Amino acid sequence: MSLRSQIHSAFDEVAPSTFGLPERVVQTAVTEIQGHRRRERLMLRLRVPLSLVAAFVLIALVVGVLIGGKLLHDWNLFRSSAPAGGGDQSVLAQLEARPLNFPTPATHGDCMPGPYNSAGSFGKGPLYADGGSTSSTSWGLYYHNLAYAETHISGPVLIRAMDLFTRERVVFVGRYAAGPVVGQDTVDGVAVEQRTELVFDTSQASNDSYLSQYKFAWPFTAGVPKSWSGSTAWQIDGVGFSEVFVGC
Amino acid sequence: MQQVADVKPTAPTQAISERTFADLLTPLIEPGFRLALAMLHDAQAAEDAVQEASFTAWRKLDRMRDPGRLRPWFLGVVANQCRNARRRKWVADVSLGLPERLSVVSDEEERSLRGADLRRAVARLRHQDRLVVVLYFYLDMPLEDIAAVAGSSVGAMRARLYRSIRKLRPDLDLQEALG
Repeated sequence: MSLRSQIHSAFDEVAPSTFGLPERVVQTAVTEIQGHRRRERLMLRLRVPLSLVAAFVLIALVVGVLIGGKLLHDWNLFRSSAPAGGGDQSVLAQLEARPLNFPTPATHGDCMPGPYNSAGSFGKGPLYADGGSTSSTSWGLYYHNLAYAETHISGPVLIRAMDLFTRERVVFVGRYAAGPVVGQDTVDGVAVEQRTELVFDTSQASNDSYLSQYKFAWPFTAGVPKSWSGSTAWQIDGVGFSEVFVGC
Repeated sequence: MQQVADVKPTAPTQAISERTFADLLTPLIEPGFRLALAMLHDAQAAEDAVQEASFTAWRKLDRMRDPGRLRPWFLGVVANQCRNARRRKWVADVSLGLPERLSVVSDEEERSLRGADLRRAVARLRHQDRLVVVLYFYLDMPLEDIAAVAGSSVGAMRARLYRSIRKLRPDLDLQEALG
């Protein structure tokens, strides 16, 4: 008996009858296939609405990202362009870089006050200043002045002042004082820091009602030591202008 | 080794009707069942394997390279199902319901014992060896078709067949065995 016959015999004797098996298996497979095709057709019908939903979601995401990005960009632009400490720092730095052009009178007799405008205020414009009341301290004397402009100006305005004979810088205290701190004092019961610059922000000028007659108005306080000479020079630098006036 | 059922599609998918598929599949179920039975030694597991292979065949019909060789391709799918089934449930040491030794042995009983011994020996072969033996000796397939089922070459199948015969019947002459 060959190996082939032995194997045939060995497996045939345990093999059950296959009567009806092909039909049963094929029928089950066809039923599964029909169910599968029904599910496929259902998915096909859902594909279009699902695709539309997916497209809408995608568009919404893209639009959201674009709008969010624009808002973020605008916010960053707004933050970077907002005034920090009363003026555009880069413009202020350019103004501070300008040299002081004060006169150097040899004697008090050589000191020429002015210029004045028609109202008698110091300055040739666009910024003018009027002297006001004073406050005394053990250190010196403080003048409560008013600077104003009658025409529109933009950007920061820098004011620096100096004693014409002692060559000491006039100090500033209060709201618009800027620059390095050079001393401390108490004025009218209020502790203040003395600084060497005054910076006006044209976007945040005073809106006090009694000052409404001016386009811009900035009340400020300037201090001089007891040893001052009585003669001072003031330099006002702004975007597109620079002026100097002298008080003797 | 690459299996026939795993080949990449080379032609566009063509949907066929259930009737056409049934006509193609029906004559392949019986040899598929015999292959599965010889591989798994379990009639219910064999029918399950053929059933799963039928559905797999429908899903992968478009991947068949040569529509004229549907039989070896389908048997390859069945062989893969058998391998997966054995992975899920190890049935190599299946009990054949026969005692190892009988005190009084008739001719019929002796034939049954020899058959059980042979089935047990086939069951102990590795999957690929057992597949070649079953296809060659039980389904009477030529080596060319066996190579198509196993996704291998004719030479490799011949060598595997020789090795498997040696394992089954070490004392048997090869030419006699192949006769």
